[in-house]
Amino acid sequence: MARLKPLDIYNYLPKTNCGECGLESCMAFAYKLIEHELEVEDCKPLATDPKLKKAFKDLKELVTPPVRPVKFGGDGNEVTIGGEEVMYRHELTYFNPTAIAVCVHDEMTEEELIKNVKLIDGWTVFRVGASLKLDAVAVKSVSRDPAKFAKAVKLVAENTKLPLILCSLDPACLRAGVEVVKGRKPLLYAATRDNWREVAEIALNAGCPVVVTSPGDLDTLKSLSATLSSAGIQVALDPGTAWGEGVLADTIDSFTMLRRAAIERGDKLVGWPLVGVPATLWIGKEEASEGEKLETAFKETFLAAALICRYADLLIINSKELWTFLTLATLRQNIYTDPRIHPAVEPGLFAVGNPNEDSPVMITTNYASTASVVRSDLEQSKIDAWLVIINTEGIGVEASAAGGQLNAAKIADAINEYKVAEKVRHRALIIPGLAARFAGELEDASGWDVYVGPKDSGSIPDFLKSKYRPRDGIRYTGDPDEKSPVILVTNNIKDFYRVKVPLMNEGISAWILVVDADGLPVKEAVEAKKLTEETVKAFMQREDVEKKVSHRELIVPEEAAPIKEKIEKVTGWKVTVVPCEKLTEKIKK
Amino acid sequence: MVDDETALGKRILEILGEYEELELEDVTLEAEELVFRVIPGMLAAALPPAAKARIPTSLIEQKFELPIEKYPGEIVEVQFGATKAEGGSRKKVVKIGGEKAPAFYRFEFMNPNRPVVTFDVFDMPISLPKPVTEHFEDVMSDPADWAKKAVNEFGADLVTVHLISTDPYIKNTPAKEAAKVIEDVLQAVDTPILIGGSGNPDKDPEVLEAAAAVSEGERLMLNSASLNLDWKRIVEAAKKYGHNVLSWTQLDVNNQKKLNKLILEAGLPKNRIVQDATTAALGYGLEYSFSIYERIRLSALRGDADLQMPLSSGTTNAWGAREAFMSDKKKGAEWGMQRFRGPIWEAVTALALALVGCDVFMMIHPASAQIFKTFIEYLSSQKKEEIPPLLNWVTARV
Repeated sequence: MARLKPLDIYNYLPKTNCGECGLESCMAFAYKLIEHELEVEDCKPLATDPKLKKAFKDLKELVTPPVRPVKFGGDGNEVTIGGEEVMYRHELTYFNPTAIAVCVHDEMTEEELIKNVKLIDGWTVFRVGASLKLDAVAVKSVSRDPAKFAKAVKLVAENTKLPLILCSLDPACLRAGVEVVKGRKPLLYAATRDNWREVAEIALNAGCPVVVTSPGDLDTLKSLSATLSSAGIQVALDPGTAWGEGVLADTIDSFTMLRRAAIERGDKLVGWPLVGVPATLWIGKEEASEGEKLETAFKETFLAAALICRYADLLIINSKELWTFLTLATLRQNIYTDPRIHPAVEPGLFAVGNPNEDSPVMITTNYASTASVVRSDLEQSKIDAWLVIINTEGIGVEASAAGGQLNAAKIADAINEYKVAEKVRHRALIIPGLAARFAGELEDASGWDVYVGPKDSGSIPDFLKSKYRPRDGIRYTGDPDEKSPVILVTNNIKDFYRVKVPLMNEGISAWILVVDADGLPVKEAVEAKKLTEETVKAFMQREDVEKKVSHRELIVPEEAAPIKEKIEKVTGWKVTVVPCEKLTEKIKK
Repeated sequence: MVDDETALGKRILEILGEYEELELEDVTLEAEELVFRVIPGMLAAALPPAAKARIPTSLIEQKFELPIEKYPGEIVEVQFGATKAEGGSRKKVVKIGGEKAPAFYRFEFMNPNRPVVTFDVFDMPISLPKPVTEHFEDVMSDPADWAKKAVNEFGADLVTVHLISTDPYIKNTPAKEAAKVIEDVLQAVDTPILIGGSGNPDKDPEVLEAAAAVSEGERLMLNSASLNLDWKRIVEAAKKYGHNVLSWTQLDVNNQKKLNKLILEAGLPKNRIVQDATTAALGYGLEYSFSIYERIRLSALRGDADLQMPLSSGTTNAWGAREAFMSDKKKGAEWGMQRFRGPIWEAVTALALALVGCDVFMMIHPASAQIFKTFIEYLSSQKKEEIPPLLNWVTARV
């Protein structure tokens, strides 16, 4: 099917650019209509002017996708299923993410019912810029008692605004259920070859859409669809969801065939949303052990995942496991991402939070989801940082490090190009753990010190707290000899570079003694007794500092002034206290 | 609503039903065309939902036509392993590919070979999430034992031995020494094996060449030839010693086509090449892999000769997702039990790619492999299991 163009639509519009729809022009409206962001009804003149009635109807017909959209739920809490135009997502995009409904039933105690509904209603996980949620509650009539069912439906409705699916093959139960949630426009499950006429009547009276079902029999399914839709009822199709040898293949075949018939063969009678019911796996599991129930949930999750990939527009599941929800909602987010949006983000230097000249500099790739995960991890942990996004052609860290799109030379070039050295007064780069293999090469290429960060950006806070420290021991700048000055500092990033960078910039060769003080700056290290005359003495002995130089003069930052004499006493060295900012000046003298 | 007049006429005849009465609303009848052969209800069925009729008294019987297509292209069959008669020493060989229709379009064609699982084995203990190591910690110091366990206890169709210790930044094990591990593993298991390098582009060609030499005639697979290393050396080794090659690119159909072409031009037959377009895990770009694998497979079936090789996935990548590797202590309250969360993450990553045509899955967790293999079995079996009526789910007290 050729995709509609805005001009195809424009011809049906009033062409007055009246602005009632909130857009500047009728052409803009045409674009929004194509992207399913607005509906024909949103053009008020077209929808209300009797003279435009034919244009309205024709346009409505024109923009109806081969899989028609069906809405259920009320009070502004609607969910739309279907509305799809293509078989394969790369051909355009999938529009309405598979709705996920979770079951409760009328033989649960009131307490159980409320607990489950609250779980379903409240479940949410934030990932890649979106809050993932569940979409509907499916209430089953296990009792087959209309009064009992109505009571359960009422209780559910009182505890959630989510759209509802009323599930019973007994029309009396459905009728009783619908009665208590009028105005919520629930979806009815289901019309079969046996009950369709009564169910159709309930649906027509209440204005509800209906799931038609006929497991394993697509002729009957299509017949039910033809029959109910002929009466103006919106339908969704459940071809049967089965787990087992051979029957699973029937299920996957049915979903694929129905979708292809609708989209590629223009079979309007099956051009409706498809409903998968992985909850069928729970048949006969009433008395199952806890272990067997978990195993059932595991299989159910897997089957549901398969149907998200294969055209299900609505899934009804029974598992209430958090990992089930997480898996399915994540998969759905992936599959329904618009593939027309390129996965690469703009490379460059970005400020996350309010970084200053001492904030860490982190490297990542310009693969959209990597960049956005790193960014949101930093933001959520309230870390101020400079983020350098390298152009890896939109490929993530692991694959680009292996494929060569991320390499030392490219990072070094980016550091220069983005003038990172002008933003910070340290020279420390944090690279992703998955790019650890470039660390050495990158230090040579960039002249910066490289710190290998965690493999997962979620661990950055821990990393910054406990691992982002200059290596302790004897470090140096330039090419020092026995006459070069010796400066002592703790293994605190900020203090280390306050010493190192000015020396580098002035081209001074010097020895820097980096003493392990759990990463504390000199001032706090002295106060916490992590930097004492004894630790200094032990360091000098361990590292054989006396062999490096012929003189016996040690320079310490002014924050170490309180222990100056003590150091002199235990080491026999002359200690000079210098404020960091005057360090190079002093040494030059 | 209906494509053309002929279709309308045909449809009308198909969908004749019995109706109590007909109420027409908003319907323009063009008498010339329809004359008086209109039977109540018929129009309503042909023109839903604008025409609102009362509910029909009996079902409008329909036939669903199977939408079957023919594809001009097909995927080559690739064999892993060679028996004694074929010049190797394997008791079993594994065949993949040979598809004539998209994956699991059984209504069109039952593809001849099912997707296979190869377990990852490393030549040195490496850091893996706890749910994985608890199954392998007793064998991680010996790749031969590790491979044996994967085959004997976890039903691996194949094993992939990754010679990661050869990386100059890890242990820099010399290529010849690393190749001995391949000999050990070939002794330990009778399934075909695949050989991976360390991922170091400078060292891998040498390592894979040495491994290919010690396993001459075994028809293993060398992982991988890629554009950023001396792929020619790897292809030459495969030609000389009778192995297959994995053509690996990063999420780019054009690059995949380019590399396949180069390898073909270098003289390796098509039926000794497998493609890997890179697996991004569930939640971490799976959609890109999904669509790229799908595009490659559909293009191949539609006749693109440079893409008609089976596809492979490094599914173990899924354990790099925090949803898989983070412990219950850290994330259990939010994400649920890692015992299930980890394996399902890997299994669903495999599943999505299997559904778009991937043939080989490099996996690591026994439970992931098991559910995935069960799924494949259920889809591929010629038998049909007896199951209780599906609609009983509505009244199941669970």
